[in-house]
Amino acid sequence: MDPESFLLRAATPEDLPAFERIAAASAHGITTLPADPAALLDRLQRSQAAFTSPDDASGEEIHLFVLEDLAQRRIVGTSGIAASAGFADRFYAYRNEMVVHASAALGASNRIHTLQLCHDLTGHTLLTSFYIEPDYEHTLAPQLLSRARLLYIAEHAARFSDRIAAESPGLADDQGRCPFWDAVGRRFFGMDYPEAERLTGARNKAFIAELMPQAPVYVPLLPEAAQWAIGQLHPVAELPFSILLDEGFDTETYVDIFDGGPIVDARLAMLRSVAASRAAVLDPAEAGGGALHLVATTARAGFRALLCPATPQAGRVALPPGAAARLGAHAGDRLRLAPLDAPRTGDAA
Amino acid sequence: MNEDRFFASADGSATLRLRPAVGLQQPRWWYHVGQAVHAAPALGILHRQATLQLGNDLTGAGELAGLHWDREQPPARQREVLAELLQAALAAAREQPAAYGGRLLVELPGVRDAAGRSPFWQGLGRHFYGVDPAEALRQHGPGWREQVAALLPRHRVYTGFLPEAAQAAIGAVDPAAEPWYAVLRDAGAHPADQVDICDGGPVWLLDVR
Repeated sequence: MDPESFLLRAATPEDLPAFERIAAASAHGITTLPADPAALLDRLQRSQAAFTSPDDASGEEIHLFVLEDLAQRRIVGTSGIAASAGFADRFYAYRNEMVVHASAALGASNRIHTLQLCHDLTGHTLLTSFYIEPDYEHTLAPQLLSRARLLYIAEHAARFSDRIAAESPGLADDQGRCPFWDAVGRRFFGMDYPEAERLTGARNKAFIAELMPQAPVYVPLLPEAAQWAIGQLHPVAELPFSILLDEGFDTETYVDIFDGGPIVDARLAMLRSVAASRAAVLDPAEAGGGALHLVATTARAGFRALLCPATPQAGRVALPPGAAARLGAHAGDRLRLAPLDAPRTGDAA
Repeated sequence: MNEDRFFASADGSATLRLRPAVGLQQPRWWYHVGQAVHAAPALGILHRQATLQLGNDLTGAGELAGLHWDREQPPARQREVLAELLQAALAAAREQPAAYGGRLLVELPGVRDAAGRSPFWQGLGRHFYGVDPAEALRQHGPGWREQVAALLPRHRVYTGFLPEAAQAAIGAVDPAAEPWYAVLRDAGAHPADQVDICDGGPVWLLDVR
């Protein structure tokens, strides 16, 4: 598939049918999209307001994006940003901590893995709602879908945290049975994970976490299946997770308090696409050639991004024929670009 | 006066040691057995769960320790001998209640499985110190029990994380100690909500004010 046929744009309430289709297609717990059409529409309206409101950011904003295959004239993926995790409340996570218990008299020293309930990620900006149709998993569409969000955040940094996090679903079977939940959450809830989620509303963590133990969980006391599930990814999340990994997110520190799935986090400025991104003014002339770039508009309203060859130089860039039109951009507009194959942060020059 | 005193029954079949204020030279450790309640009234959820908290709560109390008695005698005779010993030790302690912090603790042996292993240790301790208690005793002497606390969980342990056999062993007494247990109860001893860090056996307290 031609990477130039993909267009990422801000979602609008008119995209509701596509969101309903995607929410129904995504397995349990895989996206953060609600299945209920009214709730979806509410999200889309809130997202539209976030892209268009002249007000200063409050942290409550959610931003939803859609990926269109222009050749097929259909929406094939979604992604999102929540401006502030746990807005107006707390965002709970388990932090992996190692404590060393030592006795010189017994000649023993053990590293003990514990999980500490924490609010560290409260207020971090969250990447959410990633979904790509299976037929597009092996194209460049997921790169555009996931990483264009980072260009948006970088451009409007004042509206977001400088710390970014993303949740990924942990190990669970088709019935929603989850070894980590069975060993930890179930002991305090006495119910199945899907039932707990349904009872408390999708991922209303602050409410659920009141029931969870405040003392650290001593991992050696958990059954092996639960120990193994800590930080393990549900197979369906491998693609979006690998993109975040390549961006330079840290995967070691936090896990979800319910299913034990990894929660990655990073400083925005350290992420590969952000560190390599440049602002450039659009030239009136069209040009071909250059490495593939993520190219994004810089206005909040009508945000768009695509993939095309470009060679930004001295703060200016020319795009191939048709690209500017697909972005809805005009000569003189300010764009933000990042090379698709940006160098990893910290790589030797 | 602040030294261990030893008692023997008149027939010589039982001995007992009375120790003043414990844990002042070398810290002594027990698990406090507490409770945690997690509630979400809107969901109709209220969970109670026993917890274990490592601590030194009984530091400063006196202790009745080193008990040996002839278990071949008839049970009634065993109880007579043990009661005689206990009364002698209590009378001595009451002469100097301050030296014993006004109370005496008694550690009762915890339960074992058919193989002689402690299900409490199997469920909790061994995850933090991989040496079998019998082997640890052989290698390091009786003092290993004080040392092993440095390896055990410092934060509250929710007992729901332990296997059922280990949970059942918390505060349970080895049936072989029943005569002694009965004598203590008759003398007005009461449980301290503390258990042994190795086998989960309960600690009982006797007031000596």
